Amino acid sequence: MPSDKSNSKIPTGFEELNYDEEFYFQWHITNECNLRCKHCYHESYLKEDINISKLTQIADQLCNALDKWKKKGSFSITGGEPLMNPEILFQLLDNLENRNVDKIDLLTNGTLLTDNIILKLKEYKKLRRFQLSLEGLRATNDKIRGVNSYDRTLDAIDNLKRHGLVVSIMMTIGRHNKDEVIPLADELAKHDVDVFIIDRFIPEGQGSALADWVLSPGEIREVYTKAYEYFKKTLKPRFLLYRTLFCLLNPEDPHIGAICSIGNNALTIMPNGDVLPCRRLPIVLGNLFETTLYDIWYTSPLLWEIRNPGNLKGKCNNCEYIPICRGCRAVAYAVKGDYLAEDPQCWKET
Amino acid sequence: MKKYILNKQVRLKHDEAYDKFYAFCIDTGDHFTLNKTGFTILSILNEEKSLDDIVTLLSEEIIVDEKAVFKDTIHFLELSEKNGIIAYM
Repeated sequence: MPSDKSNSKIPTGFEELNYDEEFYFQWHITNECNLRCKHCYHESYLKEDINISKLTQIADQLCNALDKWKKKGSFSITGGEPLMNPEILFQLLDNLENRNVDKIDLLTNGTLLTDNIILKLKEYKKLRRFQLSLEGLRATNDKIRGVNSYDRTLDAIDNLKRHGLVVSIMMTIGRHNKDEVIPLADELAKHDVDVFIIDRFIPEGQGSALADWVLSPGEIREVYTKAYEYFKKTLKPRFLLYRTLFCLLNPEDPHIGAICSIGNNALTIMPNGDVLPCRRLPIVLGNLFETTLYDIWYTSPLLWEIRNPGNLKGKCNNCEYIPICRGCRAVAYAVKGDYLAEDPQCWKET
Repeated sequence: MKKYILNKQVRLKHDEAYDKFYAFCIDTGDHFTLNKTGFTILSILNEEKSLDDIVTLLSEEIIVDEKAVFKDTIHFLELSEKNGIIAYM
């Protein structure tokens, strides 16, 4: 997840990159899931031997790093489906509630959110937002996420809103659903959804066979332009447009666009302790049960390569927007097999 | 004679893109920005070395007057030891 550029200085090297106030961990606590979405990043849904002891070991490393770096910690807890084992999730939230974590988002498919579970989750003051996913309107969504998943997700949204909770919806955009972004936004408005996030489809994991879903630069520009226009005139749902490439639409607008967070202020933790640069860039940097987070952050050759914008290739090299974009390294890797390649969906003329 | 060696938990990095030099402790998370001479000294200490060894090697790598560099090297080594970057043998 890229960072909000409005709070960051322009990074020109490792030290400057570390000026960001916030560090983001996307933490996949389990691979287990009760859905089988066609485009899922996951390769496998096998149950991990995960328990609160192991999760606490990981939490210790993450929170110690936040202390050391004097960062505000922002966590997204997800899976798989993090509510497959709610007791372990609650124990983890108990642990994080009393630590130096600034805010937590729960990324869930929503299907297991009963009233009792919501009431329990409401007790956690640091749990800021519930992020669910929809892939378009009913027919499109259910083709991807499964029969009745659209209605089940809307039920979950309504339930969360009845409890006064903040809800965001993530839509992964590709050729299959690009025309449903604004219609879905209008539907979400009817359900009082607070935030609407769109992110580019990346063909990996289960979605690796769906390469034809990847939008062309022109198609991405069209979708992003529509989202930006909606953003300018509508407060709810609020489009969250802190993503790479958005800056091309209006480099002066601090509310859109973001520099790629890889090597900057984010890491992804997998259920077995593997650390990825980003969930969408599935290259293992190391494992927290074998080495330290510091070792990974300070010595990973991949992170150092990406920190240096001079290594970026094609259009991304010497691009005037390097300080506020750098392109999506995960899309480059998935489409071109090279995380340093130019962002294949960038529409900027050279 | 006292010998010095880089702490096993310390990693050195020359960020060539910005010509910056760092020492990272992968245990504690401490990180230190170095100048080129400091980086060179610590690089020498991948194997244990005495002060005389260091000054001699430093004089070979960087054109300096051995006498002039002696005092600064001692100070740098003391500072590095205090911060857990190097250890005495």
